[in-house]
Amino acid sequence: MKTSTFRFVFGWLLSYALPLLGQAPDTLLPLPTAVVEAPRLRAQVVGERVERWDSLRLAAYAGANLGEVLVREGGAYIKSYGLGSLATTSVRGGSAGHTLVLWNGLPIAGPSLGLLDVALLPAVFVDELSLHYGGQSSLWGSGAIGGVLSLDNRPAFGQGWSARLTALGGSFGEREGQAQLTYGGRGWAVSGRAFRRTADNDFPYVPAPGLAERRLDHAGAAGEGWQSSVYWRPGPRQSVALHGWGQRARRDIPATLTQTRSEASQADSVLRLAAHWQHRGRRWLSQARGGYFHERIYYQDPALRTFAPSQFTTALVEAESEAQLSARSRVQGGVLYGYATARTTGYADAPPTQQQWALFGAWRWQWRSGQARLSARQEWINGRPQPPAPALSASVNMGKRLELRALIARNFRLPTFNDRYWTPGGNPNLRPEQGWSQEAGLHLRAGGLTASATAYHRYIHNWILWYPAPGQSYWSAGNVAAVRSRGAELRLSWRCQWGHWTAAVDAGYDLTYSTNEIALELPRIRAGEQLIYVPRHQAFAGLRLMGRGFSFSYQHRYTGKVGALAAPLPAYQLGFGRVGYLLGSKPGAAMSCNLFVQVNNLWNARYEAVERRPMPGRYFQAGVQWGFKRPLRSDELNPFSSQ
Amino acid sequence: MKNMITSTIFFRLSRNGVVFAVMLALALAPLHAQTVVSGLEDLGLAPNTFQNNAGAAGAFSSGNIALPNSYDSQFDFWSGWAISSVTDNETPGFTNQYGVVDGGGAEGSATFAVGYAFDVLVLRLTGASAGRRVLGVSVSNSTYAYYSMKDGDAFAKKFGGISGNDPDFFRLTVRKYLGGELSADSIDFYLADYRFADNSQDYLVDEWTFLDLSALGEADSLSFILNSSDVGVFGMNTPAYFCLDNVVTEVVTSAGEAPVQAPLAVFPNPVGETLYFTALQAGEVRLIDGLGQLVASRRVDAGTVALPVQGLAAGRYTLLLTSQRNISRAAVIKQ
Repeated sequence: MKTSTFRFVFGWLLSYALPLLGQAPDTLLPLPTAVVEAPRLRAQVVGERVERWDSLRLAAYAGANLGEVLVREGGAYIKSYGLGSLATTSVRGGSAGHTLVLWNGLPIAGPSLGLLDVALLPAVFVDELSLHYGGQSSLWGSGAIGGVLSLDNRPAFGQGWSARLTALGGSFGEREGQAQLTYGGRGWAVSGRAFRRTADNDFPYVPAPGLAERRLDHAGAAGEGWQSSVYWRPGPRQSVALHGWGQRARRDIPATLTQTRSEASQADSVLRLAAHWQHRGRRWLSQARGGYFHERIYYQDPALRTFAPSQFTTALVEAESEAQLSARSRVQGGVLYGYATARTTGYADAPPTQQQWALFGAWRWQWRSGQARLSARQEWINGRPQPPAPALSASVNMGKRLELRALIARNFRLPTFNDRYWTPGGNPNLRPEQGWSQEAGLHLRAGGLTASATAYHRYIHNWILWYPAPGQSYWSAGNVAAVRSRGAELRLSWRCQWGHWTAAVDAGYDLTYSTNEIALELPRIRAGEQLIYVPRHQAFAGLRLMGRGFSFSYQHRYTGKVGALAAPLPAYQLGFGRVGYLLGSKPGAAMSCNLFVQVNNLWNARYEAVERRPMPGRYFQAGVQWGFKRPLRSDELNPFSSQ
Repeated sequence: MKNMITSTIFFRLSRNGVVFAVMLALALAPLHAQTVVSGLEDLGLAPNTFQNNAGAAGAFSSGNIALPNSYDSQFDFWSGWAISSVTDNETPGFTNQYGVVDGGGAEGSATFAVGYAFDVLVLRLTGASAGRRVLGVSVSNSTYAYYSMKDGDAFAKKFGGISGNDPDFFRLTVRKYLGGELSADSIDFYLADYRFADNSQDYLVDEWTFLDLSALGEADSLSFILNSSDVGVFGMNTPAYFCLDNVVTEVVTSAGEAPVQAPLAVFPNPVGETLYFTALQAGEVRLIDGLGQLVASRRVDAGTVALPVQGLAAGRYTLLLTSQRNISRAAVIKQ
């Protein structure tokens, strides 16, 4: 490439990012030390299995959404309708509504669908991502059946100024600019970040072996968003945080493989506001938090004269206290009030509303070689008590290297507004899905090697399905199914360092049996049949190598065959490669510039994650990240840091 | 004018939109059974609208038929039959569920029935037609189902599938009830048929087509069931809709008995150049192709008939032989 051409491309990429504001860390501009903002006793890991991705790991996912992060990192099965299209999760054989998504400790899914499109969660808005496996309803309430996906923002107290601009371009017309700005002083910390992206997503695909290649049409997407947090520590024992998140997305919905054309599109807009207050005493900790979440979705298909606006609003207020009873014992209790309402053309009557009360508590006891936690939650929806959700978990160290973990919990998921109020077929008398889950695991840590093996079992009854009820000529929601999920999860991680080079290997395998226990005529389900879109086998492996400013990574994922609506989808394997080079990587450097190239679906696999929805073959992304940081001077240091 | 006692049966015989009314030999037998065409015009539906609620009666009654309807006022949801005069035959999708692909009723009429076959659809014979034969009905694709099969939608496949070679079909099966018993015999009609080895023969019915039901014999009511090759976990993906008009039923006068069904043996079958059969009486023979087109007709005398067919395209045909006393039919395959 000629120098002038390079300058043009480089300048174009950079200019795309310049109009935006904000900053985030990258590989060599690490985030400041995290300050725990989530409720401590609930956030602590006792007995269950958790995978975390901190800001350093997430920095490698510039331009990615959390669905794409989880596809590459393993752990959850992502049901993606296409590049940039709707994507939902399945954890441990659960449905999309069985993964609870928290943002700084508050659930953000709407009441109408009870699930989140993870393709609309940009990785750049998250400082730490964690996936808690297994039942967590005793801690977090409805929906925490398969797992909890937690998105957290962290303050940068005492870290000074940092900024980053990212410009990214890729195949199929992908253009994205990101900007982040972070300040962490002694009493204040502020972060702001924003992005704007467009993509044509008009990738070529071969509809079936032997057929001519086509190019996907009507698949463009555009979006922009901002996320900002302000943290204030008025004293050594108090902290206040305000969080905001605004985002818009416009996506054309392409035709399926068996559809001639599509004019459908969907526009989403999101406003999320949250406030946190925390007071720390000598032996106790009190927190209050509130959230206001408003989302609008406008689906339209002019060709079909279908125009379907919908929106929801939820407001949550939560207060809790945690006390240290003794050196070994902590207890916590809290209360939550929630209000939710939604509008859609599918609800015949006035917009439904929901009043939610919850009481929850936990007790943790530690001893020399382990800890145990007993927790419980009771909710009332519009005054009606819901299933109590108790849980007991424990972690026991067997020597210095081996830890045993176990968890038994009762979990539930409330029926959604659509399940209850959609016309026709909504059933206001639905009961919550509920059931018990058990898991046990081993966790081994030896030098740079960690390994774990976990086995679990879960039985959920009153599982809600839409079916043609006897005597009715339409489909309606009913508590007609029961699902038994069981499986095993193996994880292996290895870290080592040679001189200036660091290597990391991560691998995993999931075996998932998630079967219907009750035969139904419609939907056509046999007893013992695996749920659709739940792969029995998943495996992944990744290698990362970093040193002397270079970073290399390769990730590989195997997804086994899944059942679908018409015919099973075959297994597929995906490879992802990334190369980055950091200019100005010396310690203490104020400026840095990171260039990276990424190739997705490296082996050009032809696959579908959702039936009749083509996925792209090999495609590329390239970008540049410009970083700046200025630490605090000694006279600006946090006066509370020594306390 | 429909819904009047007549000795006329309307056949839908054209592919290009021109409608022929074929006067059958029944007109020559005034002392025998007469027929009624129930065409729904007497329901008085305003132009370009629909009615999906039959009210307390639970059925739309026209001429000598009743079309049961179920309406849920809580959900504003209907099933069974609706009556429509909707003329939009271009808008695909559920919002045009009351449209017929022809853009209007059969024979140029305004009103037709839309059947939503969530389960089994029933047509009851009433009045003087109760317990008598249904000679036939005009059927067509609803606009909703037609475009779903033609172009696919978010749930249902485009017929032929990704390659165009999938042997898809959308089949209407008609049976009769008599004395409370459902007949084992049935008559199938393909509203879409993509099962041909030669894809150029694949078709979607896009105009009213007369479906000869006389072979079912006497009936109290008819049942209609839709089946599609596009099925999945949630059942049939093709919209379970079709349209119906001009139900031709017998009524018996004191003058005589109704025509009877007579067997018709043809040979060879499949046929190459000449088709042979025996006509018990003089009458008129008609050859109708899979699209309902009249491709050949002639008067014949009693005795062995040799019908040259070498000029016909390969495919499936129906041979109809009508005389004063008999209506006979046979399926013919042209090689």
